[in-house]
Amino acid sequence: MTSDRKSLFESIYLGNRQMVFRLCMGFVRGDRESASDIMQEVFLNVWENLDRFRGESSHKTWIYRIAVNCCLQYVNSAKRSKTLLETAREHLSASDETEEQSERIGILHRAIAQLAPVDRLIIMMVLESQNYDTIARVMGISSENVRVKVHRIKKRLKGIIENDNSHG
Amino acid sequence: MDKDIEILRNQWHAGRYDNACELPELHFIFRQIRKRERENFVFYYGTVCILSLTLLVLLLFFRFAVPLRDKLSCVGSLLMLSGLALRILIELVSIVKARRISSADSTLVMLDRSVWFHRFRKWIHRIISPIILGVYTLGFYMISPEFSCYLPVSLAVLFNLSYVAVGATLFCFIRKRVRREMYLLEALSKLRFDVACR
Repeated sequence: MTSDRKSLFESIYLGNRQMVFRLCMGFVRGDRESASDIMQEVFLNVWENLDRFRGESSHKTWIYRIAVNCCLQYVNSAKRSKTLLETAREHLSASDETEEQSERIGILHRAIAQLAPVDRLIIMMVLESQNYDTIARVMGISSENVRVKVHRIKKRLKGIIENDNSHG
Repeated sequence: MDKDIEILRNQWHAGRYDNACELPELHFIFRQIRKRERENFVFYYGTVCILSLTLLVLLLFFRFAVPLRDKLSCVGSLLMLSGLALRILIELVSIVKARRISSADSTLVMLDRSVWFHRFRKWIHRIISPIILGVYTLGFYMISPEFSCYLPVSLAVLFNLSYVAVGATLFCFIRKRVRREMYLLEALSKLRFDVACR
């Protein structure tokens, strides 16, 4: 490990670990253990691909790309024993007990937890205030495609929430 | 909906899931990196090393320990060694292809390469591995008559029967790998479709 490489990694890690952890936590619906696993995987990949970073203009896009890809690769791993929706309900209701938040935001969180993995990641990047161009570069698709997807995700979220309200 | 998203965004940035004191420290991450570098070596090259060692041992065995003179036995030993050599080549090709999959690529490119890789692995497990197993088995039973001359009858019978058990186990292992590759392919293809479609 050269010191130059180490110090670059250090600045990337300290500057982005919270964002990455938030993304991972949102992806695994509040399961801290899984989020921690994925987060470690993200930064292991950051280290392995550090030479490629030197050529990138935007480190944010690069980090997001690695984080999104690690989350999706995690989907295929056999580590999960419960359905993710069950995990979501456990973790989200546990955090609802400890924090003050409106029921509406709680419903919105649970709705996001019900989205497909790719849609969940896209909406989380929207919540992280990333613009459509950045999301497009992360996913490798056009900005127009991202726009259409976000519109569809919001519509789906609305449907889930209305369904939740009518059964609530 | 846009207002709700804005409220949620504020909550998100306030760190609903944010707990900096629980995040791993840098020295822990560096420890994990060193551990991963060691594991990667074993993961990627472990199989190649074991197979190469087996090939070398077999070569030396046929050359010095049990030198086979019968033409049938020579062809049989050649088949066994070729099967192993082909297996090593396939592993090396798989390593090259696996290393092309990078998390630093865009999601669509990463998924494209992953789908391609697992399709390749499925082809290997479904078609090539059974062929190699068949060739290896044929070679084994071709050397068996001359090889049995070096062993007592009971040991020769045990030797031949045990190969059947090993062969059956290998066959089940290959089937399991095929199923796993199919599962991964299906999951990755679905993700790829979700990313690429509008």
